[in-house]
Amino acid sequence: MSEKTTCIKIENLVKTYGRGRTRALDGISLEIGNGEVFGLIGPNGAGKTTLMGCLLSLLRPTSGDIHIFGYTPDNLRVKELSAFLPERPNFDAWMTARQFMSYHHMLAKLPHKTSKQDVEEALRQVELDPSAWDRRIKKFSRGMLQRLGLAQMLLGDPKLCFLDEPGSGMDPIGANLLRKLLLNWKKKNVTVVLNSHHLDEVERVCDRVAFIKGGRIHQIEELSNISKEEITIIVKCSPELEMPDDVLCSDIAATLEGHYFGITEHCLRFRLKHEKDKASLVKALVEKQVAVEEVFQERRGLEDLFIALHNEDLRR
Amino acid sequence: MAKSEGSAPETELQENVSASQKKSYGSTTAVPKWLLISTMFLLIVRAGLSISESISPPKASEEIKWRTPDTITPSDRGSDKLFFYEFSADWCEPCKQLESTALSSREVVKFLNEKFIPIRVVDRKREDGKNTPATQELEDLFSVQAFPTMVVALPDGTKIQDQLGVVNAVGLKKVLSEANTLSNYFHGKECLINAEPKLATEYFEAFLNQTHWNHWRAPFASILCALAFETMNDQEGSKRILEKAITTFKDHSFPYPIITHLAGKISFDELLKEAGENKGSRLMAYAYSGVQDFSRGNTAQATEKLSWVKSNSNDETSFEYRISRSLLAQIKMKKHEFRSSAAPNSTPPNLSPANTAPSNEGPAIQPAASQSGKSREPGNK
Amino acid sequence: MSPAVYLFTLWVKFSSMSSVLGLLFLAIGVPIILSSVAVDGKTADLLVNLVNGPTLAMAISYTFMQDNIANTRQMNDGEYLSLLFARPLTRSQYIVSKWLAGSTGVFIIMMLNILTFNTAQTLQGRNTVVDLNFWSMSDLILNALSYSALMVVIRSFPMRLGIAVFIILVYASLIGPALSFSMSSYEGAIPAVYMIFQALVFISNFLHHFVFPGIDLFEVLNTTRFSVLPLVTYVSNILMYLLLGTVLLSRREFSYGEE
Repeated sequence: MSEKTTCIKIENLVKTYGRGRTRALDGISLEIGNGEVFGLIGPNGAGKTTLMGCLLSLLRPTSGDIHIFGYTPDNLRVKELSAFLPERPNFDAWMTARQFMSYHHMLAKLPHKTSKQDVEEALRQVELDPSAWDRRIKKFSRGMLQRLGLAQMLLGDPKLCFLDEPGSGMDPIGANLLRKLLLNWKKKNVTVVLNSHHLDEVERVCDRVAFIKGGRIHQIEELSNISKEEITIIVKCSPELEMPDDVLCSDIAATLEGHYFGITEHCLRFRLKHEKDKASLVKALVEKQVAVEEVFQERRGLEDLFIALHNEDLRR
Repeated sequence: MAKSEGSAPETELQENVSASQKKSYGSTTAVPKWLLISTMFLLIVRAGLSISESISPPKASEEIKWRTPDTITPSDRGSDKLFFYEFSADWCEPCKQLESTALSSREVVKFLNEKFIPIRVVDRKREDGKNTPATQELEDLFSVQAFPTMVVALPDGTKIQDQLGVVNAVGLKKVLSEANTLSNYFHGKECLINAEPKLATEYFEAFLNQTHWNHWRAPFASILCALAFETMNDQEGSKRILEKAITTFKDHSFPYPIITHLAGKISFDELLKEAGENKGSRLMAYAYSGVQDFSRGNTAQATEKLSWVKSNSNDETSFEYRISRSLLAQIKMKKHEFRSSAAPNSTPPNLSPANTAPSNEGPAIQPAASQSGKSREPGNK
Repeated sequence: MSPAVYLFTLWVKFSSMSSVLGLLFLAIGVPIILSSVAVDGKTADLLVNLVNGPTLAMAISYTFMQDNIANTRQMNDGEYLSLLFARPLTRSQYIVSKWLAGSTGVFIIMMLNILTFNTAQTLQGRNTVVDLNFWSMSDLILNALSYSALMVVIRSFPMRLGIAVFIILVYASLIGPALSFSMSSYEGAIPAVYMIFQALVFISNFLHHFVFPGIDLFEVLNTTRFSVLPLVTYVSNILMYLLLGTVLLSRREFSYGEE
């Protein structure tokens, strides 16, 4: 982060609904660097969409600040530099794909004379079959709608992209396309913020992921730290006995070239490089008099983390 | 959209923008200052003007020369101008609105002062419990129920046009000019009853020309005009009018059959068939056919038809009734004269009513307008 | 003003057969029906005043605003508008574009309406009722602008409130001509009926004074008591409605997700 300049800066963002009864966002602070691909994940109702809404100035924060490129999110300049893919592609069904794209080309205030060329280029990039370009949108399948949604983002080379659940309901070819676009943006140093349930694709392209739950950021992970081989181990200790101290756990992790994340709710969380180290870890813990009650293995990477957090929540 | 490739760090972006463009990049959700300020400014001006105008209303450059019901003189009644009555009341809000809009329009004011005698009738029933007799008489005459009501009438009280409720300047001007045109038709009818056929044809022709033969009263006007020519024994004039009517009017429903009958294209029996059971149509058919018979000297048929009208009409003020009574009286007098003189050298009776003195039974109502009728010219627009 | 939104708003009216038929009905069907009913000059006058009053202008601009100022469009317009407002488009530009598009629509359709009515009347051998001259044309344009501005505000209200206000205004504009007079007495009438009538007169007068933004340019300029007040009132009404529309749209939040 230090080598990159800030694109989005969120400070202590709070958003309440119903006169403060529901706190959708409960003090979010976050910095997203230029050119970073940033993922927002969390269960339904966690506040991801509300955060996205605030970033797009579609919702007004109750308190706190957001700065994008140094402007408030509702600034015209921010809108010129950014593009947005809504979760449900609810487009003007009566238009043809080409008409819809021309309309957005005009809305984006791009020069009229390049309109046809830009539109066709964008439609080609999302691999929408040219036979569908002049077809009415109401005849589009969900996959085609998503491609069209992506195509409208490409107009005018945005510097910042917001994607809301881009992968939901997408076929494997579509998911592949999305990945390609994301990588392309990454290459062009475009900042991307995406909301996703579809963790597989997120983890492959995101630089960092924020886990949002109950309107708070629970954890921010740098995905470069998570390799495919790595596993996450959660060790539940007996609540009656004394908890092991952090130094001890960190030392054990270090001997296995792993990483210790800390303790939450009698659960120790470790990350190990290889699955075979699991037994060694448990053995070491038991040897140090840790009252191990149960051991979970999160299956893999991000999805594991997400599920673990979610399970923890349920357990609570 | 920025086309710069590669990285666009925050600082670079901010610098790019802040120097020259930052001002033009405002918030998309803010309310524009110019809109806010100009709206506030105009609302304040509006409030100020409303208050100042309610204290001292703007001076009128020209005002309607209103008369009151009590100041109508016999010479007004004798003039050829139409009477424009405006019924209002002090408590009536719409009346005030009318006063400040349509009745303040330059063209309306000028038109009213030039071509009409404007009379303002202010109702006082709510304040005083009753109206002055003159006011009440007018309200009763025109059955005024609400304010503002505007009535254009002949000096004798024949209503020509009315307008209930507020109207805009263009609408009022139209009402007035239509009344002015229509007055020709009414004057023509009066002249016909009062045995002034020459004048009647002039009025009817003026009416037809002003409306370009395009008015629902035009067929009636053409019939009456033709009949007026007939009473002057001007068959050419009658034929000219009827031929034009036959070719002009596209609507062939009643009274069109009367026109074809008068032109000799269908018989009276066929006309009656066309009229069907409708009493109004039958009365018209009998009356107009009777007038033609009368002027052509077919006294027996005329008597038969006009008597039918006289005994079947329920409305003694209707034109058909009045003309029938007037002509029957003339026929009776002719017979009397013929019998009393009965000289072999007597000339055939001149059937033109223009040459006969009006009998005592003559015109049912002697309209005030007719007193100066001969001096009047059909009004031009 | 955003050309994209302006053109889109006009264009969307031709997007479906039903909306095209609806517009054709207003532009051509209504005057033909009226013309066949208007057997004499007086009825024609009455009907034309009814139509050329605010009612038709409001109805047309209401349909032109239909798309997406507020909570319409199959309840999904939050999502729909969220995509729109992610574009470089200010809320005030949006309102102004909608307003101008609505005004254009009203003008075109009213124009067709009058031409059709006049043609129908002429074909039936009757007098035309509305002459197209400088005054009637300028009134047509000015009132298209002002009634569309009013509809922008109504369309910015939450849907149910908007519909309720619209119905009240249409009702008031329809009974407006009938209530432009006061009864001379209430002898014989039940006092309650009379009171209701007076209340209706009052409300109608109030609406015509303060809400209906129409102007009669001929009256204003050809008056013997010239005052700028009607002009100021006209312009301030339009600006006030645009301001109100912008404020309402700016304050509005677009939740597009399930939260």
